[in-house]
Amino acid sequence: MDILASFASGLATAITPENLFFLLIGVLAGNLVGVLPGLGPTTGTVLLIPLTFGMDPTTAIIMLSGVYYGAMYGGSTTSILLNVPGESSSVMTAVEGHKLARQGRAGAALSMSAISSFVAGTAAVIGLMFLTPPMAKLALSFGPPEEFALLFAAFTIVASLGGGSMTKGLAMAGLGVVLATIGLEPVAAQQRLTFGLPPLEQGISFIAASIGLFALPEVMEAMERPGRMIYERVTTKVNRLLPTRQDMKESATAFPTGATVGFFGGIMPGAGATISSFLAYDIQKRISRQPQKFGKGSIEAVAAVEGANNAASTGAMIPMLSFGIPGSGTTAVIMGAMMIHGLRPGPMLFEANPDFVWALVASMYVGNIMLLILNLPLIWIWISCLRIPGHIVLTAVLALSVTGVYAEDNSLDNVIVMFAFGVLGYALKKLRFPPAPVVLALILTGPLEGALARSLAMSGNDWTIFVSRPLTTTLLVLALCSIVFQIPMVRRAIGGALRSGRSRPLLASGERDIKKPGE
Amino acid sequence: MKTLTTFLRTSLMGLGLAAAASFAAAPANAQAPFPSKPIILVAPGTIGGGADVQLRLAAAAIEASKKITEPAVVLNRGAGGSQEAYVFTKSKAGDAHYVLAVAPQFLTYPMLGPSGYQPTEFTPIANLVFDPSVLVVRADSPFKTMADFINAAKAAPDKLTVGGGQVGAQDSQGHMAIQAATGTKMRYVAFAGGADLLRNVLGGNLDAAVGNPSDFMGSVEGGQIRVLAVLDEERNPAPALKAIPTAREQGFDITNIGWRGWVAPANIPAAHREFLTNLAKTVLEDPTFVERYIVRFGMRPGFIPGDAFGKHMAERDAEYRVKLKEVGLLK
Repeated sequence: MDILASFASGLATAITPENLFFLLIGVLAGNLVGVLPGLGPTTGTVLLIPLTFGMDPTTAIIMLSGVYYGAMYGGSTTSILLNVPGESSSVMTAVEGHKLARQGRAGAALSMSAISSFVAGTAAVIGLMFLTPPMAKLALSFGPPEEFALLFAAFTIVASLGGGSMTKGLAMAGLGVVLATIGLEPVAAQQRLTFGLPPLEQGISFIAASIGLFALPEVMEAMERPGRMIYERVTTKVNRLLPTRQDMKESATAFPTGATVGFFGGIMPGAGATISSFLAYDIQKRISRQPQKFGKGSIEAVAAVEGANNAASTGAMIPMLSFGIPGSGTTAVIMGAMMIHGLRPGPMLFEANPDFVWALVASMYVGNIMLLILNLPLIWIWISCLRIPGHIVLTAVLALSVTGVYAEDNSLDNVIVMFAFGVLGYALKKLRFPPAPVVLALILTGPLEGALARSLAMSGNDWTIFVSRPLTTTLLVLALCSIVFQIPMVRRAIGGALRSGRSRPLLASGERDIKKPGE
Repeated sequence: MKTLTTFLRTSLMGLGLAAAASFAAAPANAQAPFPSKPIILVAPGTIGGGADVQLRLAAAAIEASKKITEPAVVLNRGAGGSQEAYVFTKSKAGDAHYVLAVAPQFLTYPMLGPSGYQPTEFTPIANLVFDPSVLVVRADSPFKTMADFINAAKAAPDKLTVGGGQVGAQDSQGHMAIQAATGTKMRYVAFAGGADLLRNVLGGNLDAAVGNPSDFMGSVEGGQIRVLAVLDEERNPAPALKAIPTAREQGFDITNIGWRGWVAPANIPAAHREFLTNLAKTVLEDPTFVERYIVRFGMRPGFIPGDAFGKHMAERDAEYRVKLKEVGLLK
């Protein structure tokens, strides 16, 4: 097959010593950047660009792409161990994974996230190899109305991120929406709700907000009880560092879910690794056999979320490679690097530089393998670090958070915002309100409003544009279903129908009993 | 006792280092060699955006020229409609180690709302290139010439959709110029960036678009986008655009020319200003810069040094004020 032959020659290029060496640097740097809270793949990629001057263009882009998906591997580490999202796409990993860590299962969570990242990342590269032309076409068909519908559908899941009360989740989402309107409005960049304060001019950075909402309350709570360790019991026995058979059984559906949601999410303009991670969480919760564990530490949630953010970073490369349209901030940087090196991102790329494209694709496959091999033993090191006294670790977390948030924009403004959110997050924690919906609302509201404004500009203020386009209508119907099926009355009705149809009683624990009657 | 000695020794070393560092950080004066520290090229907007790519290629050109021993480093500030980069550079008054990339929005932001700066609070260094607007359609569009497009717009007022950048910026000014010159009315859809704009043209969501050649170049070369007209005084030298007539050639007297130049903070020594101006000239003469920026993005070289550039900006400022008043964005 033509594709396999091209892949083989690309692989030959990718595994030359020079390319392997720089790929290793790239994935290591990416992994590190992912671990450090606040620093993201965008910053990491930018920092490495000067290193690439004078390099062969293929080698340069192989390294920079390695940073991108490497960061998705690293993002789960501080999320799970310290409830500090390393990436905004690891927020739900923090919500679920950290609870697992408190149950003494940090090792399993970390290794599950590495394994799922590998599976999803590799699946996504294979998808990239075979599905680019139709996927690229699909990406193109997304105009403002479709973007609006997709973002709206993503919005409908906010309530489920609370892990508990739907009302609280909705309230937090509302807060997030209000906070998101602070800053520049999307059409003519006029300022809103900034009260003339420079830190608010650009709106609220969601890195600052998510670190503030998750990390700082941890630090502040620890200050309440000085001298205590973060974790009461730490085990570094190997058999406790890997997921158990039970875990793998429970997570079997999470791997394909994460991979698929992430892959498509990365391709779709308007979505990205972060939104895909939230969507994967919600979808996994709905199909899960253990839905009651979500919010209390669910390993399949970790698998789904981490798989999604990895698949998304690969999916985002598709519109970039086929049309020269960046699917995310980091792909925009990579595209800039390509232009600096004389490569022409755009529809001509496959024709003008086929060797480059296939070498890049092959290197992504190799990079995923490298990351899996690197990350699994690293887990032992991370777990051993948990033996360090809490006040030292948390001081380091505070320092890293400030540095990471500062590095986003080279300005202290975001650091101030982070501390403000830290106070808010502390209050929310004490009052038992979930912070994750605030983050999702912050991420979605701006693009949602922009898409709405553009859709109406396109249609001349005619609202029927949202029902006259097939893809938009489909997505809106899905969004509607998503809302309807969250209403408790509807769920009970469906549960009852399933029960009588298939004799699968709901056990008192909330699990679905899959044994047939009479067994 | 040993601890005390170690402590004293370490503190003295520390003090010494701090003293040395503070000398090194003392602001450069006109007598000191210039540059005495890295030159910071400040890029407003996102990484990978127009100013960013320009400055990164310029940094590479500066390095290749070996004219300075210090590195030239790109610093990104702000995103989207942010004015952070301008405010930041303004705060470095007196220090010529900062170069800010500017374009028309540098002048229009203070007109449209509260801003932290005025364009006169900087030292003009030089204009580098002109960046004209182009009118494009998807390759399978029924419009083959600009006349086709205008006639269709006249036949269906307020129906055709035209995409472009933020309201008030260059693309939207081009759109308004077209409407004003031809007496047509079309629906303008404002996108956040060139990539979004390109995607929507390719996806068939827009009837046409006004943008810079850099927004569309890859797809023009690939044959997926047709350029109806270049809104410039002369045809564009880029290979893919050489054969495209200007709007004037097609009977429509419309030009919408952007420009991209450099400014430095206010109150810098004349010698330093001259040095930076020559640096700009060197960048423009660098063959890689020409190939990977000017030609690739369909720009037209237009070196205007020093005060002449300041005059150019003052003229544009007056021009934009009039245009923005015409569309009601300015009272």
